[in-house]
Amino acid sequence: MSRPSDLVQGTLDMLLLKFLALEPMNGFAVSQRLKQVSGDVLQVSDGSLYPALHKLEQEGWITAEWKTSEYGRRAKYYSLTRLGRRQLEKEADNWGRLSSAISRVIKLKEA
Amino acid sequence: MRPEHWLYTIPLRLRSLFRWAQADQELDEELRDHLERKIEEYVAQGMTQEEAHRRARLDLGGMEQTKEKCRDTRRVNWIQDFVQDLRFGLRMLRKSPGFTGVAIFTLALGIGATTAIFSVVDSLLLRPLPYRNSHRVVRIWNTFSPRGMTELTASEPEFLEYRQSQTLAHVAGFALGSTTLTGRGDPARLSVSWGTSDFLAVLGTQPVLGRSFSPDEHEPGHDQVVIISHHLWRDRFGSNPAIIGKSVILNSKSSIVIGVMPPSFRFPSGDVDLWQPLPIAANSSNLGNHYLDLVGDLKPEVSLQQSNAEMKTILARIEQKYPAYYSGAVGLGVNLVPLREQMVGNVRPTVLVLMAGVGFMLLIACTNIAGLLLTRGEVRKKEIATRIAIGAGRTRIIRQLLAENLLLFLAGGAVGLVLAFLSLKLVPVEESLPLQQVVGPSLDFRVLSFAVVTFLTTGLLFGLMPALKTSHPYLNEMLKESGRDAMGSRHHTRNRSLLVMSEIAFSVVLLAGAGLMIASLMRLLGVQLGFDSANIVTLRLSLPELRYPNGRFAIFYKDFQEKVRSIPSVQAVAIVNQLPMSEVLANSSFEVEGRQLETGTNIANTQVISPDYFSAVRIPFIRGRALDEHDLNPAPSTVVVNQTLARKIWPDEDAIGKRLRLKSDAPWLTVVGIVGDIKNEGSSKPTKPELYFLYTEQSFGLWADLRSMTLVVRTSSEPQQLVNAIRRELNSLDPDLPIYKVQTLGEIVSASTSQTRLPAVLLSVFAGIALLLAAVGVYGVLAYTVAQSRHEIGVRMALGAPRQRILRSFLGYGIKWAAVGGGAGLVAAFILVRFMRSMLFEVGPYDPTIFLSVAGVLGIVVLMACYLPARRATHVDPMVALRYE
Repeated sequence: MSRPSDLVQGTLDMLLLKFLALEPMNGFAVSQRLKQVSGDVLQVSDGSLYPALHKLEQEGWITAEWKTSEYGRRAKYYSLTRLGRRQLEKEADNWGRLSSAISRVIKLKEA
Repeated sequence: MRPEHWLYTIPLRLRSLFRWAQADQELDEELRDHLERKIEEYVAQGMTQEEAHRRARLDLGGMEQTKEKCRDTRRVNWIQDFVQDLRFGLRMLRKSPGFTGVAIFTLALGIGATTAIFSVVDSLLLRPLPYRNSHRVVRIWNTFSPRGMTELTASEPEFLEYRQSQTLAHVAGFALGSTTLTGRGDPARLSVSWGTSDFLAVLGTQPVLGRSFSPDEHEPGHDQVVIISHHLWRDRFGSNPAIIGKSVILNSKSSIVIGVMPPSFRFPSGDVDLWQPLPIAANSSNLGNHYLDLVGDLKPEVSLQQSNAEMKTILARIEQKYPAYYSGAVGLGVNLVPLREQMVGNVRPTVLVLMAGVGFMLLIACTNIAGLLLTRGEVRKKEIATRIAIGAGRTRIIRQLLAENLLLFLAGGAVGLVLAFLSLKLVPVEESLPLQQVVGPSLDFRVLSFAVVTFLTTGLLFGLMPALKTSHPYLNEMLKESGRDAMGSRHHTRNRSLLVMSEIAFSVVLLAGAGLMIASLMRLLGVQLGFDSANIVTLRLSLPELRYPNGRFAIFYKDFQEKVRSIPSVQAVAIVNQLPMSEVLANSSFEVEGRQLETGTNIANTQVISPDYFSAVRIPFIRGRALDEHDLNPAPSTVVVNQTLARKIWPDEDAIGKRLRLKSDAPWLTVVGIVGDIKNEGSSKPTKPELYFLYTEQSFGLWADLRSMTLVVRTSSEPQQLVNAIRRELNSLDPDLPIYKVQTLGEIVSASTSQTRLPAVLLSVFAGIALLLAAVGVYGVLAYTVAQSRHEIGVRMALGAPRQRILRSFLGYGIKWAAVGGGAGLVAAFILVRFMRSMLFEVGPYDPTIFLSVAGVLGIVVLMACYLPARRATHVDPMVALRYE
């Protein structure tokens, strides 16, 4: 499964989990939200998004449900499971440690 | 993985697996929904409908590819793919039944033969013997190095001392014999094993029904109890548990049945029907009668070496205890042999060589299949290129091809199992291998697992290579060219040549092995036996001592021979105590009048015969005359010797008229005749000195059981008919006497060569199949090469190359393959044949004639296989070939 090259390994999973932790949504909404929130910095093609969602579903972190949307259209809504919440905490933790460590390295002054 | 995780994921997996159509439908809907929204969004941003449509699809990066990626996230996808691959493979195989049939049959031969031989190897060498202590059980033998004797049985006093061992948990003695069961249907001759008190404890086996012997049943006078074998219980007593506690009549005496052994208990041999106690007095001083076979089990922490060392000190103690008896036996030793080694040690090389042989055959079969698959792959290149072009990944293609190839190996394995089952039923392996002592070969779980592992590993190894080659990604070239090899053509030829050459090399190894065995068998069959085994029927009788006391049994045998002589088809009748080539022969020491013989030279095999024995089996007289009833006065006064004895004892004198005796207190016997040497101990054994005595009840110093004799009948009628007639005659004399060991002398002779015949026949079959497969392989590859080179041939012919040149250049391939493959094979054979040394008879493992013949046969076969396709090359029409694009 290919991943967008400008995203650090595994961060897409974390972002998706985070979005779904806020509220259940369908795939299209996720893609919109990705663009909005990251201000087009994070380029995730729709072609990568769906496989990533399906992977999270197969891992048991998110679960899907068919619902009728506000415009009377049937859509697949994803929401976080208990396992997913735990996974998100873990990944966010890791991310925090990793990014602060990297920042520290970057901020080192040249001697 | 935590259980909670499974709670979420298992339903998902099951859903993807069993409701995949629905899952796919939902995937479809989800993506379509996304597209619609996206299009709406783009339209809202001011794009035209078409433009929005295009952009939305582009964003999704290819609808089908994305769908496939989503499907790939389902963990069970591979199962579906696999099932799909198998279905597709099945369709492909059905489309070319010829290829499929040949491939399955080839593999079935290879896997079937390998499985059958493995089942024999397993039951003889690998499977634990069915006794609790089996890996610790040892046979205990006295040895006598001055005469090279390694398996001497023990006397009672020796047994009583060995039993004191601290390194062996138990030591038991046993003796084999036979007894007559009467009073239950026809009288039957049964094989008995008499064992001392710890006999069953050594092996750690208890009866499945009833009980074991109690200590007091090993006291003399209390031993009229018997444990019966499972097969006797089943065949004679209808598996009736009520037999326990009942009495049976054995040798005219009543014994109580106390137990039934499990069917797996085959000690000392699978044909033992009964076990009885063998009481031995604790103060026995019977030093002269060495009749006990000894067996013991090592204590858990004791090694074989430690126990061997201890037994040696015990033997030294025995020698000190009875100095008078042992002073003449310097060089006596003791040796422990593990039970399995004892049972199968001498056939180990044979079964291992057969296993190696059949393994080579399997390799050739697989190589052949790999070659076929490669060629098939070439033909399917365009199909595969097309599939790659429309989006199939290379791994996916490889997986699919591999599934298809595995399917072939699976079918081959299944048919092979049937072949293995049939061959185990049809090939008389028991005749040549000691399978009665172990649990015989069968297609049980172990053997089935072996077959499965075999077809899986060979399938993966030999199916993967062609799959890799076939799926190589020179996409454009493959689509462009029209069935002709362009890119990688040299490369592919090299692969196929390599396959063909290894097939040739493997066949050479097999041919060499088969050649050596056949040569040995021919030499063995060509040995002059010294007697005529044709048209001789033999059968054995034992007279129970109770009903035939001294003074009665010789008369019985005389009457019996008269009766049999009166049967019309009978030409000659005689009795003998031991038949040629059948069992361990009894021997005895003797003294010669007026001379002192060195120890070792005064030992001869001893036969007790009726006067007509020599004429019945046609042993020729060199000098002198046969034994005669008139020589009895009433004790015997004459003896006949064989040539070897005459030459050895009286090298420069005439043996006729000389006198010898068996003991210093026995009567002198005059040598009245010298008979020709016979191969008494088997075709491959040198003849030993032999003495022939007249059958009589009078003692002349020979210890022999003269109540048990073998009747030898030369007849013109069919054996079974004769046996029936003899049985009728016997009934008129004594209806309670069973006859047993009914065999023709021809069967006995043939059985004595079976140790050589089995590997000779099997290796020849394997080598024949191997050679055929190699020839097919050579033919196939060259035919393919010719077909692929039509264009080139056309050009060469158009430019004026003579047909002879073309023929030669293609035969050149064959010669190269034969030279390289054959050479490698000969080298491998040279390294491997030394493992066959112990199986060969009068043939050296490096016999040049055999190696030259192998090379010759191989060369001829390869050239023949090459000739047809090479000739086809010369018939290429240049016009047609050049136009063919």
